[in-house]
Amino acid sequence: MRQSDRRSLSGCLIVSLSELLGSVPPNLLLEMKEFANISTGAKISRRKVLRGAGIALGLPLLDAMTPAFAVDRSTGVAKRFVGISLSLGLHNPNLVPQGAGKDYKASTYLKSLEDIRNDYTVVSGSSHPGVTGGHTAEGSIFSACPNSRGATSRNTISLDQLMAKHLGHETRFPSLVLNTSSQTSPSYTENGAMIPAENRAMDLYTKLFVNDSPAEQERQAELLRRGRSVMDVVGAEAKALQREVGAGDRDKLDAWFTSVRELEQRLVANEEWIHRPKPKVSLEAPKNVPRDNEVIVERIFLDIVHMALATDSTRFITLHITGNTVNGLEGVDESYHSLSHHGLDEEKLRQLSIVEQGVINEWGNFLRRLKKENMLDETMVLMTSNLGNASSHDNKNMPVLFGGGGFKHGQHLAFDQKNNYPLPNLYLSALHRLGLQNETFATSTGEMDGLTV
Amino acid sequence: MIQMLATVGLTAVVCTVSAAEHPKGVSAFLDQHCYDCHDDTVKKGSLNLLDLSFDPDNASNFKLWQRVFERVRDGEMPPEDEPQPDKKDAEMFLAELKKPLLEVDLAKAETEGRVLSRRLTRREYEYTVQDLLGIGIPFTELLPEDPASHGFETVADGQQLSHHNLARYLDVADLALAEAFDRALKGDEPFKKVVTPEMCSKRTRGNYRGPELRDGRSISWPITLQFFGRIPETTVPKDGWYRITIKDVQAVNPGEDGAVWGTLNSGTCYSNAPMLYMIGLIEATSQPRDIVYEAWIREDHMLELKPNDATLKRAPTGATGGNVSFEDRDLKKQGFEGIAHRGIEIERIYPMGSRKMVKETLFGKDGLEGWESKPKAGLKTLVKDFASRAFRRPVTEELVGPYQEIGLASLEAGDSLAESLRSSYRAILCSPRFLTLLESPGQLDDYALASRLSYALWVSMPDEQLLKVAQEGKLSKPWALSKQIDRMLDDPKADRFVKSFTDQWLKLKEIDFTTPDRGLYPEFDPVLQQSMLEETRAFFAQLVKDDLAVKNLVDSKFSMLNGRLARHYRADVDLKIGEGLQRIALPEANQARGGLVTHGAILKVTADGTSTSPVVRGVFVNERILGMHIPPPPPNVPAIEPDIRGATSIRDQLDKHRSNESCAACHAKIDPPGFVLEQFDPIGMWRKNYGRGGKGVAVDPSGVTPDGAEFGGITGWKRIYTEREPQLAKGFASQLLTYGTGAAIRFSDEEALDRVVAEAGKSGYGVRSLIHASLKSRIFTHK
Repeated sequence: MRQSDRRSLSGCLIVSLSELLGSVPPNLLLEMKEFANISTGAKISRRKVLRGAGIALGLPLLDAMTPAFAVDRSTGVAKRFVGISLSLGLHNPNLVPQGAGKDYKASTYLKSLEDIRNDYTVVSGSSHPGVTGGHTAEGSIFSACPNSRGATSRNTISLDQLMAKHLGHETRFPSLVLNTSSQTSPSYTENGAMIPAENRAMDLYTKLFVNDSPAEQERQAELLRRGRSVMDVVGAEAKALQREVGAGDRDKLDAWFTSVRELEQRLVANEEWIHRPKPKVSLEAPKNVPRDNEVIVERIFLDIVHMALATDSTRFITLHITGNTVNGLEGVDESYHSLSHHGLDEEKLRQLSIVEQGVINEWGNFLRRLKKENMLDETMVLMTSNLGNASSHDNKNMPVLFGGGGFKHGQHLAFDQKNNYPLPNLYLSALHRLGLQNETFATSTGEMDGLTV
Repeated sequence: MIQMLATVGLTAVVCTVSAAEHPKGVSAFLDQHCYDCHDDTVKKGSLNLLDLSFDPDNASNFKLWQRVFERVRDGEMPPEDEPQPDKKDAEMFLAELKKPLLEVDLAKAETEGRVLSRRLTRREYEYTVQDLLGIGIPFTELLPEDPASHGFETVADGQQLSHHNLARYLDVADLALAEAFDRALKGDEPFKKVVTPEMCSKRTRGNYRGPELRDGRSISWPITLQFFGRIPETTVPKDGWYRITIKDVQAVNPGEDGAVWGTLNSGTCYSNAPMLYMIGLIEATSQPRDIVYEAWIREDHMLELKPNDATLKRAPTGATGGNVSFEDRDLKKQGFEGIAHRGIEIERIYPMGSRKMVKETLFGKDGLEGWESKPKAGLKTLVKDFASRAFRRPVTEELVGPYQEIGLASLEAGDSLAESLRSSYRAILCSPRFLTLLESPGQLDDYALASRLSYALWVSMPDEQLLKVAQEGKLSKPWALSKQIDRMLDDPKADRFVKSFTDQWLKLKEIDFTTPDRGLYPEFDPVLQQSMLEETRAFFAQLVKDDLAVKNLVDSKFSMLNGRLARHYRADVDLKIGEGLQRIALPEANQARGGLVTHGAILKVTADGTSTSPVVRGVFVNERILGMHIPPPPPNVPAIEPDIRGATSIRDQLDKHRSNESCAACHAKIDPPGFVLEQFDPIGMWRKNYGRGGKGVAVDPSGVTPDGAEFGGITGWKRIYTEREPQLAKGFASQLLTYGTGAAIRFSDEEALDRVVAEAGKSGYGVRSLIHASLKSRIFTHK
């Protein structure tokens, strides 16, 4: 490492972080964190305490990825979370089953999932309190952050990113943020910045399973060598600017400084992985992604997602389904968005149900595969949307299918369609299932009623 | 002026009303007119004024009191059916409430500024890098989308930064510098290819989807096959800008209007990937002529040229398996319309800057050679020059030091001067001094003003001349500012403003968001969509160019039409065929098309692909044209299920909804323009009835404005609002200032905004005058 890199405050702490990551096994790191946090009477060496204190001191600087302080191993049986979100909702009358509890009667859409009936729960009558704005509520799908149309509302951290922040440090990628078509995502960082999504299946595959070309490895190494000095200057400038432009801008400039630190940490964490070969998989690279068939695109992405989980390349994934062209599906000749605005027209509803059934079936296939490979109990798989009714842009009554994670499934949790149950409660249950001990998530009021292990 | 305001700020600090206690004179009015409903028991609309403290320093408390102020000011409260306050009492109440609110808000704006660290949007980034480095990469595709706040992506409140963004900035900076350094060091890569009609129709493996070769000409027919009209021989070898010249374009069998409309696209045109990039429209007439386009084309993409007018008769594919065979077919004789030409010339161009300009930007006037013997001095000089350009203001040695350090360290490690410069430039392009607009509280210094002006009117960095005026310290002088505004509006770069501003203000960038249902709206096609966009942009550009009155937003005697649009609007007008968009006086029969609100593009972006919503359109017109803010609907109001089956009208459905009192106040504003525009379907066609084929219930466009003016339909509604120019002017100015400054209009901006309107009123509320008055107002010239 160059001498100049050590000059700045952040550079210095990065060095200590990289040394730590290099020399201390991850489980010990975690253990020491517990020491630093909980002052027990246990006998520990002075050196350990010092190093522990060092980590504790370093903590405010580790926002990007903070290994969880207290992971409760007794409840933390699940390891992974996959959140699939639809930008156009699901037609409720076809989705919501008759009857509640165990004895519900499968709805039109859920008939094809009867073989895995006991592996998932369907939830109706729930939504995110205070979230409105139709399509613009996309940002709140996994953050559940209340918004208001037109006015500013800074988003809060999304469920997947909160999980990755605490538990994402053990894999090559702390999380994956995917979109079948565009770069928008419902994954948000702590300061409310949207994470641009990976939207090309081929690039995703390459990122996960193809070893970097020598040129790319060189660029990565170069980034480590020089990128950090660039970041040091950028960080120092953000500090200097705080003095130049006044108090009001402080918050915004802080975000620069934080981002710099976090990027530096990513670069360092990457260093660990650059020289390790990527996992070899039997799955072939997706050559032809048919852009006129969103269901096939979903399948291609889920194939890769499955492989990413199986190879433990990451444990936290969001996949946002946003493609608009579906006329490659048999019996469909309109666009997806146009169909979602069915206006109760029979023909449109017929075509829409072909698309939506396809989307749900792919979700089911994904569940079946995880089940077959004994991964389902450790993996929570959610499918939802910001829109409960895409035709009227209503954000109430969100569609919710929730599978895996070792919960007791096989039920329909039927809440009040007029006075919705808070869906963030499901998110809190999911966090607890990973062993994270958050007391709340967004506007949650507790764990989800009726969802037990 | 500044001094006076500072004093006001000071007073606010000294005599802040103690929290909880209502200002004197306010309590009595509240007691008499408000507490009946808004107390601790009734709490109508969840508002309890009795226990609401007065603590305007607290942002959310301020908002509530502001809302109280506005609703009483606008006569919405107390409601009609309650005893109305004495006019004098109401005025006194408003004055008493306004004073402390204004003081607090002004003080805050003065110490912090209205705009907090506005970052360049990706659109601004693209143009800035173009103007700075002379290269033309479409960076908008590589950077994350900018979220809109208060309707605009420029608004700083909505911009959040994370290390993910930063990583992207690093990536795109590398990309930009790689392109610039390659051009400077290795030179441009010439490419020129002449694709003859014979080559256009060269058979390739797979299904034939190319044009027909006939009498030495290439002819594209309207055939309903994806990628029909693709020309593999036009495939380009590398990402880049190309000039495309299509020779002797001519219509085959043109219809009544004398033209055949088509599109020129680029894409891979294979497999099932309908990702096409539109290059431009083709208006082929019986008179052969060359048509020239300039476009960014991606590596391995080819051109696709075809008639693309949904109203044309489509030819069957003609052979089995999707192949198109022209053997034994004579589509010309059968009367199909087509587009013929005599070949295509493709040439690589560098429209954003010559190689010389790129070289000088990176290596200075003397080039790398000039610094061969003294690389360290060269690096220091060049990095300082580059930083000053990129940061849009002079830089000190101290400031630029760390950027130079990076390059110097690289030189020391044995890298070349070019390589070392690149390291420094990279840091400059990732710096917050480059990526944000730096503004200090109070009046902007000349350089900050130059940047604000330039990003408002050019969507990019200031040019040399603007910086020179700033350097001379003259820009803050009103006459100099005026002169620069005129110069900038007359510059071709102002086209970027027209596009960027209308994209956001009028949501034109969302025109692709929904695709109209082909069954319900068979006349819709890409040519029409593009023509609509061009109409609205050109119309707005005319208002700016000729300083036409702001009432033209609501109604006008002219529009910008081409043949395709005239046909869509059923307008029988005298058009010059083949000349694209032109300014056309609207005939009496088409007067409903006057004004921006009834443009096809506006009607399209405010509808979905299937139906229209008077609420969506009503909110749009109120907020974006009439200057009326509509708050979000109260929670727990069920949304209305759209029903296009025709048996029920949206009006009937909404009537039930409006009977709810908490909905009524806003719907009194939303519904009138919303219902009037129900007269137009989702693709902007005039309709009398709802339902498939116009067989459903009749459209009822009549209504009453919130202040009681009645109208029977679109003409009547327009007549009412063309007479309300100050309102329209204020609405427009607030949109422009939100866009141009990067912050929404706030309470303490109202008076300055009124002055803008008064100023523009002196010259008849012309749009150009409004731009001048807005950009010279304290709202624009202060942080």
